[in-house]
Amino acid sequence: MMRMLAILLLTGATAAPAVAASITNRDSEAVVLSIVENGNRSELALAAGQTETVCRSGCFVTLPNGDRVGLSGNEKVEITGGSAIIK
Amino acid sequence: MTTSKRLLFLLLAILPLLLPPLAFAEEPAPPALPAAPANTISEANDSLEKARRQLADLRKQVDDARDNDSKLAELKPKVEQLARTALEASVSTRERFNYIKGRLDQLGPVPAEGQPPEAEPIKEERAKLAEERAAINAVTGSAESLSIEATQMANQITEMRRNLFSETLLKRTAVSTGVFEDALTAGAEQGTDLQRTVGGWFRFVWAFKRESLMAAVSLSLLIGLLLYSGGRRVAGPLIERNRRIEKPHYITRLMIAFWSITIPTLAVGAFAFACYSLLYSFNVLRPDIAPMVSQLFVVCVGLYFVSALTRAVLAPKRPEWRLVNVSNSGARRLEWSIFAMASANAVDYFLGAVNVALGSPVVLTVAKSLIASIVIGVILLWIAFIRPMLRPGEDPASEGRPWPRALSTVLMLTGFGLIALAVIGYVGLARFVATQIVVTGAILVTMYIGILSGRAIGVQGALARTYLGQRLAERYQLNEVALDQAGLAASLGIYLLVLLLGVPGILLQWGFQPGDIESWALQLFTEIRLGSISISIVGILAGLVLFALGLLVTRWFQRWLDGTVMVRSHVDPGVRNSVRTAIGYAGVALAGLIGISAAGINLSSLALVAGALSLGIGFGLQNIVSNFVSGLILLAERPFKVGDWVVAGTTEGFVKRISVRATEIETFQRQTIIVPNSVLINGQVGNWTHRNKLGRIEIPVTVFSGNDPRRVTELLLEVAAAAPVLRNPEPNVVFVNFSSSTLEFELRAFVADVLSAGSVKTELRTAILERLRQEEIPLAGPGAPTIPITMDPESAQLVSAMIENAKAQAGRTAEPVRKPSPKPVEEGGDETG
Repeated sequence: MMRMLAILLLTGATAAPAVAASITNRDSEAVVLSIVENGNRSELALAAGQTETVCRSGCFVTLPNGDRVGLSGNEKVEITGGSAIIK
Repeated sequence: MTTSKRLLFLLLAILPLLLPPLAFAEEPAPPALPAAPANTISEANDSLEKARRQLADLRKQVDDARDNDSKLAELKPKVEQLARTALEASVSTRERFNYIKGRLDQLGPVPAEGQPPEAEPIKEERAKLAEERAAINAVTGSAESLSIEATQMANQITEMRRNLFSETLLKRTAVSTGVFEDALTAGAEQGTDLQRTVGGWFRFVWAFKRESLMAAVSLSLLIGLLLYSGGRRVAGPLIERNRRIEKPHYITRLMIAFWSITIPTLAVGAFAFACYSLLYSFNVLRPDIAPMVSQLFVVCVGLYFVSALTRAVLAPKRPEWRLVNVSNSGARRLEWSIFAMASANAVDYFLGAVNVALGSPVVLTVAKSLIASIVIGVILLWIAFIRPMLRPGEDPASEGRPWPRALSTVLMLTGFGLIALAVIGYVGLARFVATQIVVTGAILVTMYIGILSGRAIGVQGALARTYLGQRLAERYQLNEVALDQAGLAASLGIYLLVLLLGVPGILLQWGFQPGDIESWALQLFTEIRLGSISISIVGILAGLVLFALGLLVTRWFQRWLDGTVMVRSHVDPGVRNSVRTAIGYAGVALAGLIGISAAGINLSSLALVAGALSLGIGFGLQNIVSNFVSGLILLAERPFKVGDWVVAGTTEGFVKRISVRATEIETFQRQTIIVPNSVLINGQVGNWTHRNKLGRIEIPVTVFSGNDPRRVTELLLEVAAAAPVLRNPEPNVVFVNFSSSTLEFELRAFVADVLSAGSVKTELRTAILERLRQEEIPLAGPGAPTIPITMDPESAQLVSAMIENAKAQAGRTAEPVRKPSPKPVEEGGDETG
C-alpha cells in the first residue's frame, strides 16, 4: 500500500501544475495582445482557438477592446468578443 | 483517558486547518458579485500612489548609494517588491471589473439608430459602468507603468553593481615614486589622526562610560570563558589530538583536522560577534570607531581560521598527525609563510577600514594594497623555493626535497603575477587575487578536508576503526550495524555542514551580499522552476509533514476506536479487524490527498495521471488490482475473519491477517501461507468456523462378528452420553457394515467447538475401548495357529483316514456336545490370525 502511495505521489509530483497564466482565444479571428512582463512590453498574436501560456511571474495584458488586466500568474483567461473572461 | 480526550480536542482543532487547503486546491474562489464596492478602485489608486512615492524615494537612495555595493544589494529587493505591489493593486480590481463586464453584457449593446431609445435609468447605469470601467483601466495602466519603472530600476541596480565590481577590480592607478611620497606624508598624517581619534574616544569612554565599558568587557570575557570551557567539554574528544594514540588512523587524522578547524573557528567567530554586539549595545562605540572595531574583529577571526587550518593540516610539531606528507622543517616553514600571507592580507583589510573611517586620501589606500600585494607575492615566491616534499615512508625529520616542478611553477607564476599586477597599477585586482589566494584558498582546503573526512567516515566499517568510533561503541554499547549507520549519518552530516559553511563563505568572499544569498536560498526552498513546472521544497516538506501527521491521527483513531469503543460494545473480533483495516486505508488515502494538495500539486492533474494509468492497470496491474478489489470485498462481505479455520484448495489453517492484497493463513504446522485475495474470492473456500464453531466427529468401531449389534450400539450410545459432546443434536450410532468376521459401527456426535474435536475423539475412543473390555465384547475371534504343509495325494488320503479313525474313536468314548460358542476356526482362522 505504502509503495503504491509512493508511486502515486511520484507521478503526481511529475505532473505538477504549471504556475503560469494561460490565455485562450475563443473568437473566430486572430487577436493581438500587448503583454508587459518583467518590465518588457511584447506583442502576442493568438490565432482562433489557440491557447498560449504566458506570465511566469505576473504580467499586464492589454486586450483588443482596450481593457487592461493584471494577471498574478495562475489565471485562465478566455478571450471572447475582444474582451476577457478571467477564471 | 484524559490524554485521549486531549488528543481528540487537538484533532478537532487541527481538522479545520487540514481541510481548507484541500478545498482550496480543488475549486477556485467563487465569483461573488459585490453590490457596489466602488472604493476598491480608490484603494488601488491609493496604494499605487504610495508605491510611486516609495519608488521616487528609493531612486534617490540608489543615486546616493552609487558607490556602496552592500547598500545597493539591500535596495534591490525593495524595488522588486514595489513591482509586485503594482501588480497586486491591479489584480485587486479584478472582481469589480468582472462584475462591471457581466452587468454591461446583461444590459446588452447600445441601441442602434432607428431602434427605440432605452429607458433613462438603464442609460444612466450604462454610463456609470462605462466610467468605472475606464477608471479601472486607468488604474491598471498606471500600475503597468509603475511596474515597468520598478523593474527597470531593479535591472539598473544590477547593472550598477556589476559596474562597481569591475571598476574596483580593473581600475588602474599609475604607480610612481610620487605616489609613494604622497602616501608617506598621508600615512604619517593618518597615523596621528588615528592616534587622536582612538585616544580621544578612549579618554571619553574612560571618563564618562567607564561602567558600560567594564560591563561590556567583563560580559565578553564571561562569554569567552563559557565558550571555551563549554566547547572543551562538548567537543573536546573531537578536536584534541589524543596523546595516547601512537599512530593515528588516516580517518582519525582527517576528522580531528576538520573539527579542529571548524569548531574553534566558529567559537572564535561567535565570541567576536558577541563582543562587538555587547560593545555596540552598551553604546561604547562611536560611529567612526565602530567600523574599525568590527573590521578588527573580522580580520582576527580570519587570521585565527587560517592559522587553525595550517596547524591542522601541517601539524608542525606532531608529524604522526600530519595530513600531507611533508618534512618537519617544510611544515614549519609553510606554516609561517602562510600565516605571514594571511597577516599581510589582514593588515591590508584592517587599514582599509581605518582609511574609510578617517576619510584618508585614495593614494594611501592604493599604497597599502600595493605593499600588501607585493608582500604576498614575495612570500609566494619564497614558498616556491622551500623544500618540503618527502618520498613515501621517508623520515619526516629529514631535509626534504623540492616541490614538483608543476607546483613550483604555478607558485612562482602567481607570485610574479601578483607583483607585476601591483606594479603596473592594477592594485584592486592584485588585492582581490591575493585575498582569494589566502581566504578562498583556506575555505576551499577546509571544504576539501571536510569532504574527504565525510567520504572516509562513510565507508563501511570506517567509523569502527577510528578511536572515536571505538569509544562510542564502548560507551553506548553499539553493535557493528548501528555503528556503521552512525558512520553513514555522520558522513551525510559532514557533507551538509561543509556545504552550509563553505558555499556561503566563498560567495561572501566574492563580493556577494548576505541579502543576495538569503534570497537565493529562499528561492531555492520555495520555488524551483524547471520549464513550466514549479517545485517548492518547503511545500513538499509541508506535504510530507501533513501526510505523516494524517497517518499518526489515523493510527491513533484506529487504536481508540478498536480498543475503547468496539471492545466495550463486544463487537466480533473479525468485524473489529475489518473496521480497523478499512479506517486505516481511508485515513492513508485522506492523508495522501491532504499531503499532495499541501505540496502544491493540483489534484486535477492527478486525474490525468489516473487516466493514463488506467491503461497500464488494464494490462500490467491487472492482477494487483483484482487482488486489491477482492481484498475490499473480503473486508466488506467477510466470508471469513481473522482466527477462522479455513480450507482453500490445498491450503488449510487459521486466518492470521486479511490485508488488501493477500490473506495470511497459518497451517497447523505453523507454516504461513500467503494467499492472494482473488484466489479466495474466485475459488471455493471452506470455513469450519463461519457461523458457529459446531463440528461433527465420527469414530469408526469394528468388533467381532459374533457380537450382538444391538448390544454394541447401546454400549456406544452410553459411552457417548458420558462424553463431553452435545446432547442436541444427539449422538447416534450407525451400523455401517458387516462381514463374516466383523461388524462395523460408526459413532457420530457433535462438539461445541470444532477446534476441540481431536481431544474429544481421543477421549471417546479410550472410553469405548475401556467399556468394550469391561463388557467382554471381543474385537476379534479366538486365534488358532495354522501350519501350512505340503504332501502328496496318497499321504493326504492317509491323513484323512487317520482323522476319521480318531473321530470315530472319540465319538464312542463321549456324547458329542454342540457348543454355540465361536467355532469356525477353520474358516476364519486365516483372516483373524
